[in-house]
Amino acid sequence: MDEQEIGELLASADRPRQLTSEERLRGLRRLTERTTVSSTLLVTDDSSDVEAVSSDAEAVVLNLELSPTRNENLRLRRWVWAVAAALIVVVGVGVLSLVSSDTQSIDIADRDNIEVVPEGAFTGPCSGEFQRLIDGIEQWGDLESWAFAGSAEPDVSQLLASTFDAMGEVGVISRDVSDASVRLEAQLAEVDDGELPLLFSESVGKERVVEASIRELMLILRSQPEASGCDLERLDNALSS
Amino acid sequence: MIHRRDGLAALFDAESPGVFGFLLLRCGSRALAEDLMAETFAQASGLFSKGRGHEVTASWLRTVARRRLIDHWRRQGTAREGLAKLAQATKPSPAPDTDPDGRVEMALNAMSDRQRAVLVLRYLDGFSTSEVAEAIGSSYKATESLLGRARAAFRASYEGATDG
Repeated sequence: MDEQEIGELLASADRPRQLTSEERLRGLRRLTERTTVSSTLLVTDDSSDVEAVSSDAEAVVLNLELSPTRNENLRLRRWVWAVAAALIVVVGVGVLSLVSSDTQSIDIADRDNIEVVPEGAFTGPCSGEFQRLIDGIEQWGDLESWAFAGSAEPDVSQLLASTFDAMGEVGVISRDVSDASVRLEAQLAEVDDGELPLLFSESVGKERVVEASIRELMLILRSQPEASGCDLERLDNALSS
Repeated sequence: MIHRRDGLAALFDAESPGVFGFLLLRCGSRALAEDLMAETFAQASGLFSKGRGHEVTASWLRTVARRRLIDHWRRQGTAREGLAKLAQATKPSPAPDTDPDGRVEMALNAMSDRQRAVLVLRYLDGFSTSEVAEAIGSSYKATESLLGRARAAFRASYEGATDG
């Protein structure tokens, strides 16, 4: 058998192959699905036909050679969908911006709803530093992202220290540190290069998640030690101990 | 219930056997040929939706099917750089039906994917050994050697099937 014969044999096998009825049905169905998704196909005027495609090999409902009238209808539909999509985008962006501003920047007015831990509530080894940290934060209403530390629980500093120690970058800040789910979420949270998911529990039954950067906060603290009044070195040591 | 068979559906019914056979001979897997055929007709539907359905011919479908197959080979690593060049090739393949009992197909199925690919490219699609080498990202000598083994494997399988 020489090379020419091999070529002839291969060419002889290069012929149409009949699809099985299942293969044909799957092909039509996939074609229907794809074209429907891309809104290029008017499939049927009877919704039951869509289901019929999957069960009836003869239920071919494609119709792409649209009449002028249908073309007009299709064009109108596309306009309607385009307007609807634009509205959805506008509303979505608006909602997102509201949510974003709510979670990333909490102004003084918002903080009025936050019950600041009263002086002396901390009893842990770093209670003074945390209190001063809170006081410092209170002065920086223009921070876009910030962390708020506060808890009436005496073990908050220990909780923070152990969490930072265990996770390296994760902090949990919760007014309700007895809420096990808050701690669990903090432990499960993924950290992305310094971005800290800080879980803020405003009150029992109402939690808010505030994303902030503790690095940024610490940098600000370092740049304005007089404003915060914090002994950052001691705080660092406490957090890393 | 609507049963209109015109347009893309009619095209599918008319041309899918040719496209399927084209792909099946080259890849040897019905499931893969079915997937690639679906991608081919999906691309055709794009032209239909733009009112350019008349541009979709059997030759166009084969060209697109070949591209999809080459994309698959590329993903699989069977072939590397150079396959894109072959994707543009539109060399027609004659289709005389002289293999009614499927011995050629059986012989091809007995070969490795790589051997099958070079044999089909060289002797069915009519590419030179250099073009095949470029297609599979191999040297000329290595491709020559691979073609030699592919021919031997095909002969052995085909003649074995014939004797049997």
